[in-house]
Amino acid sequence: GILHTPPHHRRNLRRKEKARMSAIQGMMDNQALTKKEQKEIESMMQDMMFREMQEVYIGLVDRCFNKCVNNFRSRKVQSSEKECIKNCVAKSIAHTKRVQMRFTEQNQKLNAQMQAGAAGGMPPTQ
Amino acid sequence: MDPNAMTGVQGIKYNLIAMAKLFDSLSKSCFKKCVSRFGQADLLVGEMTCTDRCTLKFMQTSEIVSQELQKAQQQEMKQQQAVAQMQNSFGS
Repeated sequence: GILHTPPHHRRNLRRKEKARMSAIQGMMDNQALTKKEQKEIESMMQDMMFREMQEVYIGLVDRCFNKCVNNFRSRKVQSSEKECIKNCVAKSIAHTKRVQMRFTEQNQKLNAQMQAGAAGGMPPTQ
Repeated sequence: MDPNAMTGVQGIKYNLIAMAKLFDSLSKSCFKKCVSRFGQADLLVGEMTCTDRCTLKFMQTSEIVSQELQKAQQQEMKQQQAVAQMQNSFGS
């Protein structure tokens, strides 16, 4: 029932971690952080990722329930509703992937521009 | 902090937070779907029945979503492992 552990944070950590590392690497590259500070940041990031995984799960339940389950003549989820929920989850994941991809791209672009700017004068305007 | 350890105080804390948030979502959704008349203070019989069924369906939905998420993440893991293996065997 509802009392189960929210799913499997650890498994999706790696992919999301990559998306974030590129953003954060940019922030961290320009600073000299002590080992202790790095550990702190690591543990903070892990905590953020657990929270985010939880938010993803809860958000999906909310969104897919609202989109897919709209009649209450029965107390059981119908097979068509179940199909809808499955598709809703799959589409949401695919959508997030795409957004992450574009987000990472943009961040890398901006970082490159900023570093070019730092190395020698004004960054190229777009 | 070991990412594989959803145990102890941290684990329980996350579980409780998740439960609370799910309950909140459930409550909002079912009110929206089931309750629309405000001519009186008591719930109508139909609204009560709707709310009962809505709650049950919401909880079933949370199970389905959990299963689908797990499936998707396992797929992701497999793909990543396959890619890693390929890279290893080609010595890149």
